Amino acid sequence: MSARPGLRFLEATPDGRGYLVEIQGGPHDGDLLFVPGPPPAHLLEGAVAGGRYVPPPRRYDDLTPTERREAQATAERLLLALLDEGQQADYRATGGFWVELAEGRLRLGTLYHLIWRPHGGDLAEQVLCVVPEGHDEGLTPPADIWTNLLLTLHATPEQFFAVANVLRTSRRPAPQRTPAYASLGLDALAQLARRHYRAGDWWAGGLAEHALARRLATSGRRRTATKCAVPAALSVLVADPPAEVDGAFLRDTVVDTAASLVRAADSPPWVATLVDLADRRIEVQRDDRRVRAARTELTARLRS
Amino acid sequence: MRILDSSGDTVVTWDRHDADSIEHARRVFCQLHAERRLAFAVPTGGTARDTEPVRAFDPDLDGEIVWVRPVQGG
Repeated sequence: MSARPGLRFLEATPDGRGYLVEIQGGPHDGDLLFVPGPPPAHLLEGAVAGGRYVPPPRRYDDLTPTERREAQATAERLLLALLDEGQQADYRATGGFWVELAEGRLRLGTLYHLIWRPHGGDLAEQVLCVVPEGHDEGLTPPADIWTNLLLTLHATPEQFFAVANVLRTSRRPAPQRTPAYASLGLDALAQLARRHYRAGDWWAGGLAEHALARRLATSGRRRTATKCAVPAALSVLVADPPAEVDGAFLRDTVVDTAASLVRAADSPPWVATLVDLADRRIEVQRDDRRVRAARTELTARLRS
Repeated sequence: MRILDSSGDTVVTWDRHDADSIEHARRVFCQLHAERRLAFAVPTGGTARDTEPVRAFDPDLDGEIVWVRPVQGG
């Protein structure tokens, strides 16, 4: 009499509906069989003892609420162990964290919405979508998804970005320049600046006087250029730039022009006089903390 | 080795001085590799920043292997 065929457990289906076995021995040796229902313990033990990974019989989504909490806690322990302190704090506070790479930084934590900010270039930000295969089958706790993406990102970034779907792209604005007023002569520029100042528009007046200073410096009249550049710098420091411009960048440009001319002049008493004159011109119309703070800042930057 | 699954993760360990446990772990490694999962090694005391891909089972590895799934665009 021949020995009874045996069954070798292969795997359970992810949805828990049944499991696959391989028939060992008998006329159907090697055939595969699908058996409905959960696998019996003795088959599972045999599989594990034989050096086989047997996944849990139920998906994460099919667990009880208590079981899901425990699974998520287990997954989070692993995820947190892989993060540095700053990332851990961020994850605990927000559920997400930034991953720093050589080429930029990527934020993990919101499914289908990974924020990628590359360093340099004209690309400011992209929203990417990258997921582990089978993520929508409810197989693992949410924290495992981040562990999956985190390790892939660090170990094989080229793989990560090769499959990423780009959902949105933002580009950096083109660099702004101070207006040159190329069509205006020196006198017209000076008049324009005075008109703006009289109207209380310190921003426009400062830019016009800055353009005048650059024109004078280019023509070799550096001392006169300095007399315009210093008041222009104080004006833009005092003023509120329009919302549509990069005020900080333009301020730096105007102040840098004044600073370079001042360094060439190399006469601190004279520069202090210029700052006084500029200060007094503004104070005639406005005397407030903003002017005093701007004067302090300008003096410091001209001396640096 | 940690295998990400519905429980959070399932741990498979081995003793470097126990040939049976090493063989057990090696079979699991081969099984998961055949299932197209990916193995990443994190050195002891390291973070994800130190992760490297693993292509072959090394019982003397200093650290932990984490098995994940391939990624795809969403």
